[in-house]
Amino acid sequence: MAHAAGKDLVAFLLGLLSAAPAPPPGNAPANPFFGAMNAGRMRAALQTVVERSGWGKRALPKGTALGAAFYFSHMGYFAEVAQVSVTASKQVKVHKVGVVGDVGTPIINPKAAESMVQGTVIDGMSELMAQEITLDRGRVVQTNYHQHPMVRRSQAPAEIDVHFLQTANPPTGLGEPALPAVCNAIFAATGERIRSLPLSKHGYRWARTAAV
Amino acid sequence: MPYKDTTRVGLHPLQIAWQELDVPQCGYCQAGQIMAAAALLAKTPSPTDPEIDAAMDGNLCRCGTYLRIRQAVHKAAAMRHPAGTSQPGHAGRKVAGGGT
Repeated sequence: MAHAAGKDLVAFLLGLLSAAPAPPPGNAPANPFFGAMNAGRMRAALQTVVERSGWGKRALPKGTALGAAFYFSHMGYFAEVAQVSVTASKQVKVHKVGVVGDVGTPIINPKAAESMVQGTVIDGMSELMAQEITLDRGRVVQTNYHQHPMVRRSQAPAEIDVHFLQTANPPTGLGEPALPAVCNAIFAATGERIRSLPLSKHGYRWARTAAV
Repeated sequence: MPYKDTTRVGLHPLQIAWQELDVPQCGYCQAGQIMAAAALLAKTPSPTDPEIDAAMDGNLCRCGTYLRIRQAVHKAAAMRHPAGTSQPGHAGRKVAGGGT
């Protein structure tokens, strides 16, 4: 939609979040695990990750682009920028992912929270590229991981930078905030818009490091 | 030998690095990861990232701990070849070659 509007993706997303109606006053939900998204908190997360990633400020080599996305997960707010390159033969390399999360304070186990976010970025990449469950005559087709591949270490990004905003909100769940920023980056790098997953259906593969 | 060292003493540099960096999540793959890393370090004491990838690409991790594994392998490699400084708790365990 941003592309159709002729706008920079991040500017478009921030605009949508600014235009969202303000939450009603005293918006402390009785149930901390269920409620509507607070657009202001999401905007702050997106703004922070965009600044940390240098969106719009860095020259990137041809075939490399940034994608951005945000996700509201278990009452936690997550925004992500992914730096992705795509070769002419549709090999995709996710070089670096920046994630900013707002799950309130205190975060009881910060190391576990960081690990969770890193892990789910990688798990999200697995699902994105080649994971789906299909049925044939009532039976699941995929019998093992060779038909449902997981990202291997040589395919994983070299860096996943996770930053939590320390906001004066009650702590919430973290969920599994793996985000689709990679598809936005692929579009920015190649002009091809992905409309269905997994990516392998459209001829994409992960690139691997040289020695593997 | 790496296996004997890790189970009996618990002070292999990889085990220390794994603890310091809080590498595992669910832990399911970690025994294999550590063994593969130990075998790598026995042959290649200071591996590069591509060398780590090549040696350990067969060890899948659903929890996505790959980044911390790589950091821990580098940390363990540095512990064993600390460029002249001695490490507390490692007295007498500096490895010249062979062994672990």
